[in-house]
Amino acid sequence: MNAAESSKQFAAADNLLQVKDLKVQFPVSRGGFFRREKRVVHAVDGVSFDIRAGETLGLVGESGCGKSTTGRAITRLIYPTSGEVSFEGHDLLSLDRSELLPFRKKIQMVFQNPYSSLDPRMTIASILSEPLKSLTPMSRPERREKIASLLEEVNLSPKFLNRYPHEFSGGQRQRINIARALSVSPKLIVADEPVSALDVSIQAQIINLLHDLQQKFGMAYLFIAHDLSVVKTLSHRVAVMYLGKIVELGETRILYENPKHPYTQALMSAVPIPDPKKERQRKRIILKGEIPSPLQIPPGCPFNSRCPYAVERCFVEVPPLRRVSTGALASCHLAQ
Amino acid sequence: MKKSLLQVSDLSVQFKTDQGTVRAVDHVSFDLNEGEVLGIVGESGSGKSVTCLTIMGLLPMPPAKVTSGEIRFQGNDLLKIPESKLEDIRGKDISMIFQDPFTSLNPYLKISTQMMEVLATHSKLSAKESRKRCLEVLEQLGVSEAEMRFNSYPHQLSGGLKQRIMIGMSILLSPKILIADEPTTALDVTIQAQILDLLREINLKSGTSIILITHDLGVVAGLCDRVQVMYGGRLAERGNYDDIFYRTRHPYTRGLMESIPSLEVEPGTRLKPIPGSPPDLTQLGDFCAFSPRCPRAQEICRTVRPLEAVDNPGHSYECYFPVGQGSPPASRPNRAASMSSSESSEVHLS
Repeated sequence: MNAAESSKQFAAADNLLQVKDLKVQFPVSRGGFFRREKRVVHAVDGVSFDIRAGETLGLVGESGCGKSTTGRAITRLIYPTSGEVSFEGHDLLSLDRSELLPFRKKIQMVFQNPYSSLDPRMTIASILSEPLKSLTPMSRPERREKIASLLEEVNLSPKFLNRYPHEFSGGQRQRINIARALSVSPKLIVADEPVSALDVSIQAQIINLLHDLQQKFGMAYLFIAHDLSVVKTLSHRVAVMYLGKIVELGETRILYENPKHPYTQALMSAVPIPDPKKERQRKRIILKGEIPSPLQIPPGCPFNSRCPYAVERCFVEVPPLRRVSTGALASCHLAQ
Repeated sequence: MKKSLLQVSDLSVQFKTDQGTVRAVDHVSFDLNEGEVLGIVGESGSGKSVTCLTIMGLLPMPPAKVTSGEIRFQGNDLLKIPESKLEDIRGKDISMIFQDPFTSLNPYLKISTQMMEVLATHSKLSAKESRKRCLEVLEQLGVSEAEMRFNSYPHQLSGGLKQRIMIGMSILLSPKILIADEPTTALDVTIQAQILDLLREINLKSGTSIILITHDLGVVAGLCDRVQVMYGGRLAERGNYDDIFYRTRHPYTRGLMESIPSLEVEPGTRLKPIPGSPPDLTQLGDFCAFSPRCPRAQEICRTVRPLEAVDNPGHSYECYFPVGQGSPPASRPNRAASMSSSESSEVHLS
């Protein structure tokens, strides 16, 4: 897939990360000891995209669509079943642990839950110095200095250094998480739902912080979220996932103004708008039913069971991700 | 003019903890009219859930303690009537849907057992009739293969389906009031749209009044007739949806609206967050709870809690220096327009 053409501000040569036909499958078994039945959850089912230096790619979808698994496979927290992940031209999947180490410095992650992603028994100083200790040759005083400046970058006072995570609010903890990811000056940060556990008034603070840090340090983000409006404010391009597949990918503005895949359209129309007049007059597409189990992905288009426009062809043939009139990529037989 | 169904006046609820007394709900009043949807909006710790749990009589006391106010429903003060009488009302006249459909059903019992228990407790229907009524409600809620779902265990159902079952249980007895505490927060957007549609339908078809607790102004915009915005256990602003969205007066309401990333925001724009963090409820004194984060706060905001000021009947706010049209009612006489004497004396005491 070559999504590079869709965005002019990033040249294709700047590709930082390339993901090709990524598949992650989890075997599950059920039944008794003698009649064990092996089945496979197709969590990520052939996903391809790339991220350019300094770009934010938003990855949206509902729970179980495989967006987090994709993020974890890229950082190799999960080893994918098949596919290719290359970072600056190096194939990440062929590297062993020690060879991977230099890339740990370049790809960092921010997790969703600010309460469980910080060790409660470590002070903020030790949390922040851990990546520096294992990934850089910095001396102790250098680390001290770096940590103090990191806290400043995320707008926390350096006097917090000797405190423990429980003394902080959710928003402050997420700032610490971001500072930890930032500590080794990564080129790519995979942020998995970084604001969804936060209160509305705090969400905006963290989104702005991520925005400012990107302006300053120029790293790329893979921004994973279920909230379309949060993704819109931060992303240059957006990929929409459904049942382990990317169903639409395009430049943010185009994708939001003119979504081509029926699932993207339904997803957009389901997001409530905080304006009663618009919200009450708007035409909404309410999808019937629920996402099918990733244990039994229906044949043909994965969305066929809920799609209001599905025709016979959709139940037989898997639609490829192809370029549509808006310049975005969509996997729908009917999209123009 | 719609008839008032439930009146909450001057309600205060406190919790005694090791860190001090938490003033979870602090002199809050509102009423609910017949057939309307009232939205209670606020962030975590704003007191919205505690308010509703108090109405339902579901707060463990101690540690919770109601220190002032009354909750009037059909001539009774729900805070004073005996538990046995409250049990008659709870589940029958007033029922509740909880936020988390994953933990609010008993995993050991079949859906049928749990649903029929409601009817066994509150009605004289036979087992056969109960079963029929349950299936009827499930079909009304658009549960496909209702019979099969009815005989399943909760873990066999998806989140959206569990929430439908919870709603089903809560409307089995056609309650007058349905309290929905963040009913869609744990669900995906497309499922959220389905559930909100369902609540709208219940309200329109059966005339059930709904109190919808949420942190999402978008959900409020689509569903609510009137809105109560809470902050730090207190009222920030209340009014009908027009008042709240288009004639906003309280700086917190305004801040909340400006900080939401909406689908209408241009990509790449910076948001306008509310600075600071939500208040520590043990440290709240008799001053405006929002003053530490408020761009308009002045000396008086940090020393004396504002009284409820009234714009027009039904639209009021607790603020000295409100935003929006008209001159700010900054002086004291303007603020006391509709206050009960108990509250004003409380302010003077401080």
